[in-house]
Amino acid sequence: MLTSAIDKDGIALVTIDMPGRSMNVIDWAFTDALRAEIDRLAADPAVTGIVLSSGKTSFIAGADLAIMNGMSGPGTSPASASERIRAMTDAFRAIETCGKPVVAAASGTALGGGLELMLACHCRIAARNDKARFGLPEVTLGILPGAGGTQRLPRVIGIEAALPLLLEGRRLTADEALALGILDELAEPEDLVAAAKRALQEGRVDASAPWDRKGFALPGPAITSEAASNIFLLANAKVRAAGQRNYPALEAILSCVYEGLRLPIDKALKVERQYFGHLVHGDVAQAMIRTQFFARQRLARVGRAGPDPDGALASACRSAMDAQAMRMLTEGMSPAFVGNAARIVGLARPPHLPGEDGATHERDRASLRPTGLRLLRAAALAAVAALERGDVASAVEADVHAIDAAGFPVWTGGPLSMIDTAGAAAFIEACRADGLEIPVGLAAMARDGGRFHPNEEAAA
Amino acid sequence: MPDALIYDHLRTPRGRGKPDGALHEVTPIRLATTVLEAVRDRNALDTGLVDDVVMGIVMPVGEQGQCLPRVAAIAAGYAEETAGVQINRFCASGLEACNVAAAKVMAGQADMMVAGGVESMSRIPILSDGGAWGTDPQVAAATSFVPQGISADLIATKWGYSREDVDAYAVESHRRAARAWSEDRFAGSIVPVHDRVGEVLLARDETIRGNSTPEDLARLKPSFAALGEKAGFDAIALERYPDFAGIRHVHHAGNSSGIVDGAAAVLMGTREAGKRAGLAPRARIRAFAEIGSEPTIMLTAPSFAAEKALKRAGMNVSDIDLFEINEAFAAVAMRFIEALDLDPEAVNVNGGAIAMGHPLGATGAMILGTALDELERTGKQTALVTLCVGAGMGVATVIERI
Repeated sequence: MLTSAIDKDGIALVTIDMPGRSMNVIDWAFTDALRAEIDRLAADPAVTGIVLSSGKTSFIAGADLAIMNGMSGPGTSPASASERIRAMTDAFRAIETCGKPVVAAASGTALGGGLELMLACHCRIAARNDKARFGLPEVTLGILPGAGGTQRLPRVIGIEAALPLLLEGRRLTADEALALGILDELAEPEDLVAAAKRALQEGRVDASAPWDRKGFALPGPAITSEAASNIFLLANAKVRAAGQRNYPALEAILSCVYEGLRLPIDKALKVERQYFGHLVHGDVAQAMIRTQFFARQRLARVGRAGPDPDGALASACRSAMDAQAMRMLTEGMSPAFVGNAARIVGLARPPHLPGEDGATHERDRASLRPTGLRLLRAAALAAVAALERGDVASAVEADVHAIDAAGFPVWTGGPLSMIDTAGAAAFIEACRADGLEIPVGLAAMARDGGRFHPNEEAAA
Repeated sequence: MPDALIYDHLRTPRGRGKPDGALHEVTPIRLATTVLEAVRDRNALDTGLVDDVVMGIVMPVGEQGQCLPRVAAIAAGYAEETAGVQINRFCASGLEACNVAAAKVMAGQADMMVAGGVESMSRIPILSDGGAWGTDPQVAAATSFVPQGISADLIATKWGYSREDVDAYAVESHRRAARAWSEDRFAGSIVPVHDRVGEVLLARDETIRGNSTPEDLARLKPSFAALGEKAGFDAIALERYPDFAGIRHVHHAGNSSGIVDGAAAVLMGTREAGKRAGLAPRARIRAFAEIGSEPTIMLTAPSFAAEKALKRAGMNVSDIDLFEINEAFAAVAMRFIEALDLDPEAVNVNGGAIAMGHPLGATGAMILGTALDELERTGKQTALVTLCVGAGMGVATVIERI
């Protein structure tokens, strides 16, 4: 998967080309091979510089998400997950500290771990390629870039520019990435490798990262400045208001930057991988990876990805929530309370409620989240019934369509993933406490210890 | 247990805390030495009797840092034996300094103390000291941090104070402060601040607008609407107060405490130490208390602190003749009055921080003095002084004339 050719100037051209795949992805085998190759080239006195390139039209699409499976479940912990990702962090750090100048020459897209690898190189050149996208979209799967992305991106472009990219996972074009300073240079595709070699030959590439050199100053406001404090003050509020603490990745990413930028890079990378370990080991990341990545990929493959807002499933979920909300009002909750409960669990659309007047007695705020979860459970039961009726083809489709068409919160992975996460028996118990009626099929599933999404399915 | 007796107190006038304010050219340490020298000179005090100078400073950084009270004591020519310490309990630091000083006296571990505080908000702006509360992502999340203005607006929302209500409160604060000055009610306690050639820089509080009208205030835009609605802080507040559909944003620069510069000193000690110094005690510290409460609404703890201090003193609300509550925001004072069911005519009778400003570290000591002066002027006996404090705290002190 890695081939190296050393030219007459001593420049090693390393080509990444994973056999049998349309795009390169980072898995443990690749990580180990990369580490070994870098160590070998660093030790070879004939090598004066290194160019990392791809044998495909894209650079690296990201990490192979199957590797996330080994980081949760029985026998794992946040600590073990953190230790596992370390192989990747250390391989990238080995590039950065190998003592020779390293240029990333990206033929196209570099996302997630692919961009993290580029950020660990001393110079980043990309081909002019309209299809190429650069970004750290980990947050959209409930995790964070755990191989240096939260540390190197702000060190390269400053806190203020880095935070929105890390928190939204936005994908940039090559021109945008160049303008932000993530890329150093663009080259014509046929000239890419030559441009990378020129940068080395002309001595334009340092053999160390700026943050490993004395006197490094962060671009933009210093992490200890009042300006940086204000950036965090507002970013903290923004993610809290938007995510209501349903997405632990948002807080974790902010903390990686807030804490890590105060530290030397090696200690900073340790902070990052520990936050990563907590996230990847958690239920939210597992549910989001299952639904937002694997389920969507599968539906796209069979051409059933489009949401259907008027579909039977979406209508059933929405009317179940509306009915439940009305019941809450008759129990004496104010419309404001029910609206806030829906907001706090992340419902994209609040249930239909009569006017906001007639606030009744003050309720214990501790019951707010349970009230919101009750709305979700009512919708989840409607999704179960829809699946039993055959309104949707599969549990996978039910989850995706409930999110897209009924506004079911993404952090749950969808209604059926939510039941799986709780376990059917515990879910039923919670429903009974809410006074919700349990479908026969679900009760049977709980008795058998069954699931909607088989455990191994996530690895597919 | 020895009584902690108050022998004297004084303060600088409060200058607008901006570059065009009268005290902007005065360093914070000179504000401190101004009151330290004045309390010594007018009492002909042998400073060798003073164990410690305890001062509240809320932004103890830069030229306001480095244990300013000790350095100020030396700079003011106090005896070398007089120590100094800076404390920070946010907005109640000045009162906390008095309580700490009183506690040392009552514990028999000090004989004579100077308490007080200083803050040059024009030179060392608020938030200069950084801190983790709202900025460290883990801490901000765990504490449901919102800025104080959102908390004040939440109080108005929860207890139904309209924009007209809070503006009317602010107009009255200015009217009372202007009346107090016109009747010379503060005269006995004000130390004018001079420039380098002896000219008076400021002899009166600079921010009072006695002719302020509700119509003037009605024109001001709410200060915290954007922070609440756009930046997301309202959503955080509503998570804790979910029976409200939204926050009513009623506070603005005109009905919140002013940003000002100033310093205050209170001379305190045992009966014996006073005798040795030839001083007559004016009041006794009856009791004091600090308390924490729900940090998102943050600013409702004065009534809880007051109840705690009164209980400790074995007193009831009805035993108190006068109340001083720091007017951090109009709704804070209004809620305090409502919570304890007070007669508004017995609360902040000479105006408050909305009119005269709130020099963070000094205010508590200033309003303790204001309460004592007013007791003496009207021949009354007991006063309760309290301030709301960031992160949901409150501090209260009960004094009684001798």
